Parts: sequence; C-alpha cells; structure tokens
Amino acid sequence: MSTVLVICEKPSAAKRIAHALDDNGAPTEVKRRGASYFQCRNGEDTLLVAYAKGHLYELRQVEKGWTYPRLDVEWAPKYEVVKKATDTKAIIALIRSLAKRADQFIVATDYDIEGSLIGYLVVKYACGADPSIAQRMIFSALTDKELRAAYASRAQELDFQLVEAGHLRHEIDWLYGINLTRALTLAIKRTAGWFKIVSTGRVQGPTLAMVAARDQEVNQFVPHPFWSIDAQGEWDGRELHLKYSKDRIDTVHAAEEVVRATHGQVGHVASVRTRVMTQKPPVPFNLGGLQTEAYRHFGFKPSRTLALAQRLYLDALISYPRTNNQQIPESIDVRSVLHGLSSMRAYKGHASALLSRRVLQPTQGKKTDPAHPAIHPTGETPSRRLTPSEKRLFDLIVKRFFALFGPPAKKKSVRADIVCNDHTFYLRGREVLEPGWIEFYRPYVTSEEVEVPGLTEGDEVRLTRVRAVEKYTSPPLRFNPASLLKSLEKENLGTKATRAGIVDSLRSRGYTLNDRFELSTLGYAVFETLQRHVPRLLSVEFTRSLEEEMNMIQEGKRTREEVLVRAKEDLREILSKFKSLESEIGNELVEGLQRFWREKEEVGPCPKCDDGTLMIVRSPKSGKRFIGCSNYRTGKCDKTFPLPQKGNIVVLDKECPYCGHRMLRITSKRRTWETCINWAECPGRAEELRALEERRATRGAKG
Amino acid sequence: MSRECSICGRRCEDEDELCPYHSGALENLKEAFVKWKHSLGVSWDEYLERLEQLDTVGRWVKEVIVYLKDREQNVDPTAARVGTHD
Repeated sequence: MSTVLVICEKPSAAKRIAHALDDNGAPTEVKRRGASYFQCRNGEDTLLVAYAKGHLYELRQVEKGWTYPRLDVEWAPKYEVVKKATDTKAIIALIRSLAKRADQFIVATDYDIEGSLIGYLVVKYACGADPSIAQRMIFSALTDKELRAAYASRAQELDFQLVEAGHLRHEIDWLYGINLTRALTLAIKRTAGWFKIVSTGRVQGPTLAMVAARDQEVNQFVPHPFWSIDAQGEWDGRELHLKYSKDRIDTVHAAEEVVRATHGQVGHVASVRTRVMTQKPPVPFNLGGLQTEAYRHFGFKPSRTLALAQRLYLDALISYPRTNNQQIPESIDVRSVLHGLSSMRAYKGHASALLSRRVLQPTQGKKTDPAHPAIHPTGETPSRRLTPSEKRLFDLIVKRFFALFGPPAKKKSVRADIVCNDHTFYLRGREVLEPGWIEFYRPYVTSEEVEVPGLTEGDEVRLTRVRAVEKYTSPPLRFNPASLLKSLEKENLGTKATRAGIVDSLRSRGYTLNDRFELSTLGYAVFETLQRHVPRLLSVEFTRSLEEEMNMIQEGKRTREEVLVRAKEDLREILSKFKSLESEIGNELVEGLQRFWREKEEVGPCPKCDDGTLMIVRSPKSGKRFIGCSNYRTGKCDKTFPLPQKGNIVVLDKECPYCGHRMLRITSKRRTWETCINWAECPGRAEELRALEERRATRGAKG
Repeated sequence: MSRECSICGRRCEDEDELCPYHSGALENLKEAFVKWKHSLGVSWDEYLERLEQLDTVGRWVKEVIVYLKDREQNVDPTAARVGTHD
C-alpha cells in the first residue's frame, strides 16, 4: 500500500485525472489555505492529486542589478520573481506538505517540453525529491479511458530529454530576452535619461524583421497599369460572360486592338473540353492548421484559438492541441469517437453515416509528432454550456474530423473556347458530381458551381460587348496574425506553443499599429537600430540554427551544457558590441522614439490658421484630452476639436469623405471605430448624433 | 554627421537627400515610369498626377511625389529638372 503524489499541470486537469483514477469515480477535494488537492483510492493505493498553475518556478538572475550582461540564472518560486503570482505560494506550500506523506511521485502534466519541465521542477524543488525516482503518465486526451490506461502503463522515469530541452529553451529565452531588452532600454536611459522599456528577443527580432520587410515593400510599392478584356456574347438567345485568353494585356494599344477586332463580331466555338477531377479530403488538424482555419472562418487570432482549444482539451472534448502532427494513428479508436459524437444532436447524422461504413480510413497529412496525434474530438459530450466561440471551434474540429473519412469529391470542369478574328475567349463551368467529404465539412468549404450552356463545336457566338478595362497591379498583402504565424512555422522559428504569443507581442509592444501588421515608427526605430548595429539579432538563420540545436537535445543528439555554452558565447559577443556602441544606439532609438511620440500626437495641418499643426493635447487644468492648434501658445490660433476621453487613439492617413477632416481610429476595450476629428459637426454623422441625442433623451425620461 | 532626410528626418546615407526608405521609393518610382510610358505613353508629370489618385500607391512613394512636386515649384525654372526620368 503506497501513498502516491500525482502532479498535474492545472486544477481542471487534476480534477479530471482524480475522477478517472478513483475507484468510485468520486474523489474528495481537500481545501487547505488557498489551495486544494484531490484524494482518491486506486486499489490498495492512496492517490493525492495535486496541481500546479502552469509554471510554479521561474528563472531569475543570480547576481543583482538591473543591468547587462547577466548570464547566470537559477530557478526560484514564481511568487518571488513575479509579484502578481501570489497564488503560487499556497500551492507550493501544499505540495511540499503532501510530498512528506508520499512515497511515490507521478508527473501527470501535459506531455510536451513545458509540461515535462513543470513536473520536473515541482518534484525537484517543491517536493524536495530526486527526480530520477519519479514516474511519468503520458496521455493525449483527458478522457477517463485514456487516463486510466496512462496510469496503468506509466513510464518508470521522467522524460529527461524533454526536460532538458525545456530547461534550455527557458534559459536561452531568458538570457536573450532580458539582456537585449536591458541593453536597448539602458541605451535610451543613458542617452536621454528616459526609462522606456524597449524589448527584443531571440524570436521577436527575426519576426520584427519579417514584418518590416513586408511593410517596406508595401510602402515603396508603385502599381503598374494593365488591361483586362471584359466580354459578353450571345448564343441561342442567352447572354454569356466570356473571359479573354490573356488575363493581362500590357499596353493600352494592344487592349484596344482586341476590342477593335472583336466587338460586335461573330466568333465560333473552336473546342469544348470536359475534365473530371477528384479532390481528396483535407488533412487532420495540427495546431498551425487549426489556427489558420479558425482565423479564416471566425477571425480568431492564433493566440485566441490556442486558448479556446486548451479549454476544450481541459474539458476532455478534444485531444491535446499543442501538436504538430497531421496524422490520426491507428491506436485511436475512431469508431468509439464517432459513437460518442453520434449522441450529440448536431452531429448525429454525419456520425451515423460514417459508422455505417465497414472501413474507416482517415486521410493523413505529412507532418508527424511522436508525442501527440493530430487534434481530434474525443467523442465526449460537453458537460457544461460552451461559449459561442468554444462552440464554433469545437464544431470546426468535429467537422474536420468527419471530413477525414469522407470519400474524395468528384468535380467536373468544362471549358469552351470561342475564337473570333484570331482572338480566343473562353467560358468555364464547374459542377460538383459527387460531394464526398465536402458534405461533411460544410460550412467550412464551399463548392461554387457555374453552369455552362450546352455549346458545341462550330456554334456561332456573337460578341455583343467587348471592352478593355484598365487595372493596376496590387501591393503585396500585409501580414495578418494567421499568415505571420504560418511564416514563423515555415521558417522554423519558435515552437507551436510560443508562436502565437510572439505574434501578439509585436502589437502589445507598440511595434505594429493594428492587426494588419503595419509597422509603427517605434517598430522602425528598433528594427533600424538593430539592423545597423547588431543585424544578427534580426537574422532568421541565426535563430533557426539555435532552434535546431535545441531540437537536437530533445532527440538526445546534443547536451544542454554544450548548446548553452555556445549560446552564451554568442550572446556575450553581441552584448559587448552593443556596449561599445551604446551611445550611438541610444541616440538612434531616442530619435526614433521622439518621432514615434510626435507622430502619435500630430493630427495634421490646422484648417483655421496657415501654419499651425493640430496636436492631441491634455488640458493642464482638467486633464482631459482634445485636439488643439500648435499656434495656441502664441495666441495666433484657438482652433480645437473634442476627443473621446477613453480608449487608444490612432491618427489615420485618410480624410473624412463628408467634411474632409482627418480621420481617427479609436480602440476602447474590445470596440474599435473610426471617426473624423470634426465628428461633433460632421454632416456624415448628423443622423447618428441625432439618434444618440434621442436615445439619451428617452433614457433621461425613463430615469 | 550624415544628413537628415528631406521628407521624414531620418538619417541619410552619405550625401543622399533622402533616407534609404524614400530613396528606395524614388527608385521604384523611376523604374515603374518606364513601364507606364510603354503601357500608356504618359509624360512624367501625368504619371505623377495619376499615381496620386491611386490608393494602392505606397505611403513613401506618395511622400516622394509631394516632395518632387514641391521642389519643382520652388526651383528656378531655368535650372535642370529634378530626377532622371526623362
């Protein structure tokens, strides 16, 4: 008879694990001084199921002082490093006291580098035990069945390669992030005396460089003109919309020549070709795939998708989401998953249709991950009411899972070529012959059908209208959160768990202006300074090579010490170069910051006086903000505009279509709206303001 | 000490009048003119006029156009024209 301490990653996971491992499925929650654990019986053993709340230990520098370089670090309780993390104190104290009663330790955190490291640190520091005696439960879903199996077949030792990889990743990210951020921040402080945190990091630098390169392309873009031919024909009394054989015509003369030669003329159907194609189902979701699809259909940012997926995982509705795998292994009982889904009204039809098949073979993707399968539903029914966003993501995951088992879709494409005076026009039609998997994946896939009339070779088609349309080439698309995440994945920068946070960090640090990843003046200042003096920090290759070395630890090909020594040497070299150029770097950053702040405040030229500039200012008396003219101080101009008092204001590079005044974008909490600075008197808003007054009057009358 | 960009105040390289961003925009402007001339047969001034109306023209390119026009207005009419476009 043993007392076993089971260490979980989160309270909700602990509850599920305790429920699954208790013989009666009814563990007791014991609360003690702001924390709790679950006690259960498992055969002869008593299990004490405790939880962390993510990391309970954080790295901190050994030597004191807010300066750089600081290259020696140690693990410390999180509440000593992060002031706000006070709740971790009670948890660590509880685990420490439970460890005294335990004679066995099992780590049951998520099976990845973070989870393995969390478990290791708890065993080592909170339990004060030797990690080599701890055991490991490995699972990919929090269902009772899988958890019981994971307990029964638990590994006799921790996954030390994952622990080492996680340990090193934390150390390197800390060393680079803290030292480089301090180097930038102190360069500003020593130059101008301001304390403004300007950050960069190992992955953040190359990400910033990618965004900057795209932003430059867009800002330096000059469109080229080209022409396309818009044509209409008539056949058997029906109007046909035709396309010209060339998408683009380079010169206006060539385009006019096509019009002259074909407008009002009769063409002949030269050929009608039919092609039948099959389209295989999409591959199973890995995290990147899910994030891209969720952004496409729901506009969820990658970090939001990850958070929602994590909640669904903790509710045992889906498998572990932080996976790179695009395959559903044979070990997963897909039939039982489908059985589970068939008990939900929304999925009964499709699940039953699939269950009626004798063979269920899912489509597989190329990417693999030995730790976890592709993201899939577990077949469990939600035990609580899901939020609308959770519901949407769950639906996407379930329908994608269904689609994997669907037969290929069969589509027919028809192309009819019509030749008129040596110019070829064509008509293309599409038809879905057999929807196959498309049926299962709706509404996340659309199959647009275009009918083609029954033209036959030799038929006459009168070209009733042919005109040349002048068009222009488009600039490259700016990144959005999903496309930036995809680029990071492609470049092998960061991990599946960290990429979403890196994407968000560019915005939260003020380096980009909006979700279109337009670089701010501050973003440019940091990018330019690093590019000029320490370009290695922006280099994808440098970060990627470090990333590859870290992966080698996971595979047991390198040791943590070897990689750490090299990474520290590189960093020391970078920091010493930084120090020697500190005043130059400081000057450039200060110039950039001044530009950034000026741009944030400057609205544009004053419409009242000749040479004044409208600025966002605060009243020294009331503290309220408004727009005023820079000539106010000299008594030359008193033009002002009111401003909303709450929210973040961004001056836009466009004018109001109604009154011609400069436009602003205001973001307050979750709401974002655009208005002109003249909003109180703008004719475009007259209706809106009247309605607002009426609403206020009605509310006043009721009150 | 290097010069400041006549448009944005950023540092210029060597004796350039414009920073690398606006210089790049000017280069693109000149390069694209060759295509515009071939496609539409427009003059340099017509070309700039038309670009000013297009929303997809890059921000720095638009700033360069304003800069070129301002310079053209302030320059002695007998002096050489700005740029190497013709």
